[in-house]
Amino acid sequence: MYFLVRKLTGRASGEALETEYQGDKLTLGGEPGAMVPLPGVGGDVTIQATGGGAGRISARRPVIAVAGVASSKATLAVGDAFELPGYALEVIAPPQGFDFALQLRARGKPASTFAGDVSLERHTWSMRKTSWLLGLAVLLLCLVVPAAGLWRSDIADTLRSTPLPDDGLWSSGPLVSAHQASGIAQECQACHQKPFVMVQDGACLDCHRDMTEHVDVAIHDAHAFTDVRCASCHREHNEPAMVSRRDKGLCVDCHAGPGAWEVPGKLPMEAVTAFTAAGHPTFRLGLLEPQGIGAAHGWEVRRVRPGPEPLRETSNLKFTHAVHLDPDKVQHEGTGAALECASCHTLKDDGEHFEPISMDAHCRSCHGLSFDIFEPELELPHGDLRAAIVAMEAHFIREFTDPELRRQRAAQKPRRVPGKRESAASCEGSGLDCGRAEALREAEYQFANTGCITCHEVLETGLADINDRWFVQPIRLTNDWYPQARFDHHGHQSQAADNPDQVCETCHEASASDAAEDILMPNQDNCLACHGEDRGAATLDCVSCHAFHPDEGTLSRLARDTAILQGGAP
Amino acid sequence: MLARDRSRVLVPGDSSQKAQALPNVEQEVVIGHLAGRIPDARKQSEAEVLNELLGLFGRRQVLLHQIRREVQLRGLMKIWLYFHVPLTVGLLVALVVHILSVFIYW
Repeated sequence: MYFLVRKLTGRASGEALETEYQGDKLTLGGEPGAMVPLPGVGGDVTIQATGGGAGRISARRPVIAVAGVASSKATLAVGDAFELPGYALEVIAPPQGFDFALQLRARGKPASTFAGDVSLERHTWSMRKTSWLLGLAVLLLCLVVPAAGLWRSDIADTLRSTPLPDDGLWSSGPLVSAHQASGIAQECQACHQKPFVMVQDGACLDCHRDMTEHVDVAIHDAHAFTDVRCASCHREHNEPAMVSRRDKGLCVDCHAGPGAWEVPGKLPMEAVTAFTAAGHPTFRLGLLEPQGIGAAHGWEVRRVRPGPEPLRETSNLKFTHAVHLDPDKVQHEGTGAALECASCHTLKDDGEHFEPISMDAHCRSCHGLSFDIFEPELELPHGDLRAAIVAMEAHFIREFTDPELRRQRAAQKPRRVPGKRESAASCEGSGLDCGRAEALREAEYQFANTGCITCHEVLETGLADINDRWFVQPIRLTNDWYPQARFDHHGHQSQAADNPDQVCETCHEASASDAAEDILMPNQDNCLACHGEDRGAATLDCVSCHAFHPDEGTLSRLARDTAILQGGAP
Repeated sequence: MLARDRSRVLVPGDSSQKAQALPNVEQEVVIGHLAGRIPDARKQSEAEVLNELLGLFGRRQVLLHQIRREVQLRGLMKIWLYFHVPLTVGLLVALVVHILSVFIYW
């Protein structure tokens, strides 16, 4: 049988390439060995001539499309058109001598197939299956297994105690060291109490029971403060671990224009925009002031902004730093060395404040309260006027009443002590009278000449009774000059590198102060010189010096409950 | 994968030796043979045909080289995809898990 295949080249109209084939059938397709090579057509397409230009086409796969319907076999007559993938074919009338004729036209580019098998699917594992497996494994290990602990705490405990993934896997960063405590560090539910609900304030306040609000909510609008969640400012799981907001906006957002927070009857707050000379109000000193005569109504702190005149303190103490720091005038009792600041001032553990100065610990070793040169080791009690007078009376009455003691006293020749009164050795009269008279003389000397009056303000009342005749003004030394600020003396010891002997005097000019009323606190410029916002390296943020949760704020546990009562969500 | 050219060409033998298939890497043997025959052509028409044939083999060399390179790149990409696709799917699931877990422990 003779077949004719007329291939339209598509280059010019009607240009065709005719090829003759001889055989019992005509094979077409992309397989090697096909008589009519049609790249991209699979399925061993075969055509057999049935006479009269008609034929039968068959293939092993339904690649033959007759009128758009794919099939694996068809009967062909002259004029029939059909398609193979990428080709349009038409049965044409066979010329003389041929049994069957086909006209062939390529439609678009033939689908190319590689002779070699470059597919890996059949040789290796399936990409799709691997993807599913990996996806499911991630879902199971990272979500399902840890989430099982959300519903049952015993499962959560089991997961945490085994190498299985637990909910710690979801942690986005380390906790701050304070929260690395048992019961919190591993127990996510300590804070994240309900799934899909943000950490509630109650979770924080369960432990932080003494935490206070920023203000007293009885004065300011409670909702403005209590509606702000703890976690708005205190973010956990940060890296590096940092639990508090420290940016300037935390304070300046409100305090740049504090007018809205004014309270009637109280001094308006000054605006703060930055820690610079222009952006920060001058520091206010907390002056401790006696209330009433002789501080009868106690002491109160009045915060005063320094003006052109230097401020004076009213502690009622008589003291001069200049003399005590002068090595020619005052030396250490034991070593003879010059006194230094630390001889009296001991820093507390907080690094900011100092241990209180006391007569017994700091003054008595030099300023002893002996009152009888015949018995110099005897000293008056300190801090109690009546006890001191009673002690003097009791001592002198005993001295002059007991005949043996009176005889011994008359026989003694005590050494004269500078600054001490020469007590009477003998007396004419009854023991009681002599003792009382001597006590009065000694009291006059102590209160008016040298003794109590050395350090204390003594008020002479003019009354006859020895108990009422003098009044010693009470002394109260200020312990916190800047009560609204925090400070760390330890960190500032670096100043010692330049001035090791007088590191304190870098800021507190004590050796130039001749009166106790002098306030030796450095002013704002001293801080700004290093820590001003325009200074660069040692710049401080607001919360480095100021506490956001001051002691005078309302207790948060109460304030946030109040907020609930006022209509907040329970 | 290595884009190695294993083409061979059958060099017809003569009376002294048998026909043998020689490696024809980058069609060099054929091209070399054709190029060597052009100066020996006895007729100009033969030289022209040989020249045309040489041009065709040159194109064949370029095309084969490109095909080999493409097959190599496709193979390499398939290998890469074997790791890339499953890992990407796994990581996409991990992303979804992450988003969910963020809201579980908000």
